[in-house]
Amino acid sequence: MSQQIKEDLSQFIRELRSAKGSARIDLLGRFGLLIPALASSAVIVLILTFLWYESALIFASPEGGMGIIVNPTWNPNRDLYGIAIFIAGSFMCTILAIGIAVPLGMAGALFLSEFCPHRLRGPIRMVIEMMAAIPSIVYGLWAYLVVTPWIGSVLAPAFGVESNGLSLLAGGIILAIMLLPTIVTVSDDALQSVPRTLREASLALGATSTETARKVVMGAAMPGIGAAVVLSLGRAVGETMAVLMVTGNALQIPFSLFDPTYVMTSIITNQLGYAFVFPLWRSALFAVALVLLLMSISFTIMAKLFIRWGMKTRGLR
Amino acid sequence: MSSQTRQLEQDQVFKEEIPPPEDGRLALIIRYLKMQARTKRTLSDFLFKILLAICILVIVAPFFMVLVQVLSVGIPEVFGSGPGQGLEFFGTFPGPGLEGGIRNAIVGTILLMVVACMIGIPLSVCGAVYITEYAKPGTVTSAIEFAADVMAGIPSIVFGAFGFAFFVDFLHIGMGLIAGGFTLAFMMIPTVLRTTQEALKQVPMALREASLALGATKWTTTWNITIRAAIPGIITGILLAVGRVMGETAPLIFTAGNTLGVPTSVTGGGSWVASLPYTVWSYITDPREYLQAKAHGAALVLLLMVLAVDIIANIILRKLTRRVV
Amino acid sequence: MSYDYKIEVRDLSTWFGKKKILKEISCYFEDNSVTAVMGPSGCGKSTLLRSLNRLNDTIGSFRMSGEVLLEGENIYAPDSDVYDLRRRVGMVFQRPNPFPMSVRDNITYGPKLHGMKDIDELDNLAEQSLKKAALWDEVKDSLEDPAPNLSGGQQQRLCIARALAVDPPVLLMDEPVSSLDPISAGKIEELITELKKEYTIIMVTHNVQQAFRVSDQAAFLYLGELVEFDKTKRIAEAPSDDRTEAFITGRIG
Repeated sequence: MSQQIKEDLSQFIRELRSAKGSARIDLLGRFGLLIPALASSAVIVLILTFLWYESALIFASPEGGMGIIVNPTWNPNRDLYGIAIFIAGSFMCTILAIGIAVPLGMAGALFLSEFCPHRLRGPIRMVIEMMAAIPSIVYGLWAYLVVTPWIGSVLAPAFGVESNGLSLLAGGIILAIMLLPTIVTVSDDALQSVPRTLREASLALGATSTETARKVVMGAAMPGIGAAVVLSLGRAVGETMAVLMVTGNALQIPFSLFDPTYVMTSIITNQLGYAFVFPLWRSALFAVALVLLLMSISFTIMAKLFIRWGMKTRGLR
Repeated sequence: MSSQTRQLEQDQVFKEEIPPPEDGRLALIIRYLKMQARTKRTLSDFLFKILLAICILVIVAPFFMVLVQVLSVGIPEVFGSGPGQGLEFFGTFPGPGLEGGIRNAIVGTILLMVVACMIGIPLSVCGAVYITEYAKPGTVTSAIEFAADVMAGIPSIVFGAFGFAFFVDFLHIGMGLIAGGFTLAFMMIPTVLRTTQEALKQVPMALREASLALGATKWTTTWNITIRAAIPGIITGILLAVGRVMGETAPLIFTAGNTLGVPTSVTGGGSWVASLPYTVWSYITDPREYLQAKAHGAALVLLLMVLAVDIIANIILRKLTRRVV
Repeated sequence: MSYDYKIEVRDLSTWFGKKKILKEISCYFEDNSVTAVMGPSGCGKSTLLRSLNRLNDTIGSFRMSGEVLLEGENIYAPDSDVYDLRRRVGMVFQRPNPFPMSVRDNITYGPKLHGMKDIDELDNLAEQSLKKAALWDEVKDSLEDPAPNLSGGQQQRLCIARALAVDPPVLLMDEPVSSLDPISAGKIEELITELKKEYTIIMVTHNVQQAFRVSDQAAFLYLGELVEFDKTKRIAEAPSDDRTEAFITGRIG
């Protein structure tokens, strides 16, 4: 890439020397645009650099090192900075949310795309798109005041468990609700782009419309749906405010759905405010942020690979 | 079997036998159900559809539940006439007890959006113009596209931590309007850049060629013709991005600070700025009931602002697609 | 049950919304024959074809009146089983539309739907169907490859094999070669003549020469009306209607 920039630059200077008048403005403008173009993508490099620079301390120190990723003890007072429980908490919350949202979302998208009465389709799509726009803090407010008390007073007693509702389950549910709009709309778009003639071919063989939808349309739309799922994985891991408010934030690995848990985003939000004056503590929190960043980057790459792979194996353009 | 087929069959039922008025509808329903249960396959077809319909109800239900919660407590705050309610809720700064509103948060959110747009829009629009109009398709273009896609997936708290490390600490700007606004600006980049790029790609090549053929330079063509044709799409992208970052709390916690008034300076302690999402968060976790009520009011205001921006963006988008198709 | 014709159409009219597409059409299709349905674009050829397996039902705003008898039974009767009907009346579309799955799964899709489970039986059926569609030799070593990777002509023959796999007595073809190159088209024409021995084939075509080459009887539709319906030979020699003659000689179409 730097090679190409160098070439572009030298060509640019050559052209600028030979150009006159308005052509010179043209070339200068072109150069002027290159700067914001590079700057806007340099942000990602800047973020990576700074998180690495900030967390280098903990990774280099004898108290920390790479081992913090698998060490489950977090106790800043004794300079113990294991971040494994947060990774485990995020992991469990995400799995739970995906486990709820993916089947439900795919079923919803299938209904919307294949069976929804024409008149209802528009309004339902609109509601779902509006759900995607609701800020996470508003979901958090509702989950904190409505969902957690309900889990504490209805659901937990029903299972014979003692719980105040602030739990892994609450985190999973609110995350699932926040992921659903993306999963439904992206999957619906993927289903809608399956050519009508494939559906007709299946119907003409005597398939019912649900057999057609499940076996042919879903199969053809799989790459798009898969990408939606991978992207929502990234969003689930990175979601902050709503999860922070409902998971109880206890330094433990949850053993049941009704146990409180602590996720990666929550520990940063809760502690960076007073940790920033203690170098090691601060550095450990930035290490959590770095792990989050690397995870989100790999999810994005995975989603892209998924689409490319899907298109190749299915022979679709 | 599609609903049309069913309709058709029902029509024929009507034609053949006109049922007595009282139990006609019931007989029709029974007949319809019998038809669905005729074989194992038609029955499972029917049940599967019902299952899917239940799923979509479960999916949209939280929207209405959130709305009911926010409206039931928020409406008296926003439209009521008690102390700290109604106009006072919008127009006054937080006071003791029931009194005071959320003027600090509303002004703060607007100021943050202005700063974020001033930085984020030029960067991303110029970037998009460069890669669609000037750069040859190749590594630079795909690297910028890839960077934008990766940025779109970065968790908001990571932006917050980065903003704190970079603006507040490293550049010594300190918390406040500038650090918070810049952090939000960075979050806007991927959405604006990608939608602008799409909008520019939609502009027909012939339009550019027509201008170039008249002797215009690439520069004038780009700014006077291409961008002008793409402006509705660009505005849609900007609105979508604004709607997204307006509701963000996490990036602001360590970059914007908080205040009961409005920022009085651009840097330093006086530049600390409140915002609607931050206000919702700090009030809702407070045990005092009147603060929780104010949190609902602030959430309602935030919700209305975000949905308004989102709906306007969608209207422009829809108008746009109709014009193109 | 005894019946006069494999398929008989009686006073069939169809509408999409308020627009009447077919106007009181009556015709019949005999066992082991190829019928060509001809006419200019938009005359209702495809609609007629799709009325014979009730595929129009899936389009909103479709209405119809009249009767279509398949082996003596009205397929539009309220208690008729549309899924069984579509098993008995296969269809091949204008553009090849293989499912995005393997060649084998494309063929076995239909039989599995209708309850065939035994793997050996399914494999055997796949082989038989591919042989009937003259595709076996080309794909026998790549049955697990994605079907969309085949060439256009191979895809279309795969679609024919897929339709044959559920053993339909009637085969509908909607301009089956119009999107293919001449060589692939020729292969499929040959195939149609071969398939005639076992199946009743109804083929929509835009191409008069092709209709004359392969069909036994022909129907000519113009603006939703059945203008002419007779033995192909007779129509080719002396069309009884001016509009048919105009179409055949290339003045309309």
